[in-house]
Amino acid sequence: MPQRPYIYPFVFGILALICLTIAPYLVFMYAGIEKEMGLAQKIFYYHVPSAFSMFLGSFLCFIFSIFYLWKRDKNCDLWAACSAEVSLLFGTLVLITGAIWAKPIWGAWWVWDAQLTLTLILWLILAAYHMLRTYLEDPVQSARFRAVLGIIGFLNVPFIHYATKLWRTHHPEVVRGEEISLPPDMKAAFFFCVITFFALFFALLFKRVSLAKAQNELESLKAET
Amino acid sequence: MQHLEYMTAAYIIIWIAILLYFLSLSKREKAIWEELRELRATITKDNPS
Amino acid sequence: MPLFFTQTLAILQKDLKTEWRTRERLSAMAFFAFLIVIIFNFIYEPGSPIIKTVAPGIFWIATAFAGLLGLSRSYAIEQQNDCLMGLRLTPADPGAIFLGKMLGNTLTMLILQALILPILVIFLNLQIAQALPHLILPILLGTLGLATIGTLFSAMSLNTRLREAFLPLLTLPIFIPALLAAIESFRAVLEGSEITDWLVLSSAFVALYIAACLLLFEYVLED
Repeated sequence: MPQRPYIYPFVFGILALICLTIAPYLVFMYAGIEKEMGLAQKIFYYHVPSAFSMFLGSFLCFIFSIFYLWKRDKNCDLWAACSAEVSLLFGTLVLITGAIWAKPIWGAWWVWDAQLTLTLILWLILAAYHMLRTYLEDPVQSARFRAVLGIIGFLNVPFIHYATKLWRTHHPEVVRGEEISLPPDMKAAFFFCVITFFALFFALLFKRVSLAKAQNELESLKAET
Repeated sequence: MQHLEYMTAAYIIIWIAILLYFLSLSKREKAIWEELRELRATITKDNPS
Repeated sequence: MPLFFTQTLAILQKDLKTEWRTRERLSAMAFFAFLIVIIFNFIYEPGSPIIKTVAPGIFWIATAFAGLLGLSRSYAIEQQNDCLMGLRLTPADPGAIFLGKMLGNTLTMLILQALILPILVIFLNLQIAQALPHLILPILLGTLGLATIGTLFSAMSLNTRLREAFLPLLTLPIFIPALLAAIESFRAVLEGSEITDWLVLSSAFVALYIAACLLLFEYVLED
């Protein structure tokens, strides 16, 4: 009986848990409270790392999609699909926390700020990717189409970035606060949170992959009998 | 303690979402392994080689 | 490479010929676009000054939605009598098939735009006579962008359970940056301001996606 591929989700899960016990200390105790934004600024420590995890996930999806079309290895497709799904989860969190951040700071739940818009459009692409997966029947064809969308979708990121930036400079009503360089205590807390979220991302990704592998095994066993 | 409620809301939503996702993954995986075990048991029972 | 272009031209010719015989697709698209332009007028007070600023948006929404309607038929017609199988069996390069179909779709959409632009001018009372020469390039680039990703995805969406209805869900999120560029440059031309940045963006979009689709189309067509 094959062993469950437990080790990676376990290692990253433990790492994430350790980080998660330290991160709140750094965020709440070590890092100071921002004068103007108050406690709402603390959302930043989880909001931005979530965004990084989301981009990491879509980048992994892009890489695995290329490898799938190149090598035709079923595992690459599985990894691509799983990273897209975890990325979608983090994207959702970025959008929700973005709205919660925007309300006290800018007085509206949603502002069409360039970075938030970029996240939103990438989220839409990831959602389309997810839907494509559920609406296709033939597994081999589905994997191929998904890989194509994974590549096309990620190639779009620089365009969205450039377009939203141009768009926002053409409509200067909403201006994101000047890019403030963080004081060292906040920077340290922030970097630690990035590491925490990456550990969390990989823990979830490995967990998702082990689920997908188990599903595949079940399906192939069912096909045999 | 300015904007405490927004911060709490953001943190709670993040943790609950990640926890729920993780739990649902574990639950689905467990169910699949259960089914796999049963299926394997029936296969070995049917053809004892 | 000349063979590649002969193949492209052959596919393009075939598509235009089948389209021209019935003009079914084009008339449905034109009517749909006309409806969109009319319906948008009910959103605002008649004669409100807002209409001038949203006119580029209305134009592009009409093009994009009616264009998607046409794009979704672009492979559906190939499914009758197993034409798609025939296309696969031809010695033509998949890239040439893609390019031919994409150019066919672009031409159809350009005709559509030539039809709705006068309608827009009449109903919204726009003054575009002087701006017209400057409008051609951004409109062409936007249309090429839509046709490129739309052609790629229309082959994909046919195989989903929702069939053609799935096409907009795939195409629109990817099309957003080019759509933004198209709308903003249209508006900038009407206002008489600079559009170089937007043109750079949409040309890069078109160039990169045509290259990517030429490479990837093989995997979409494969059975």
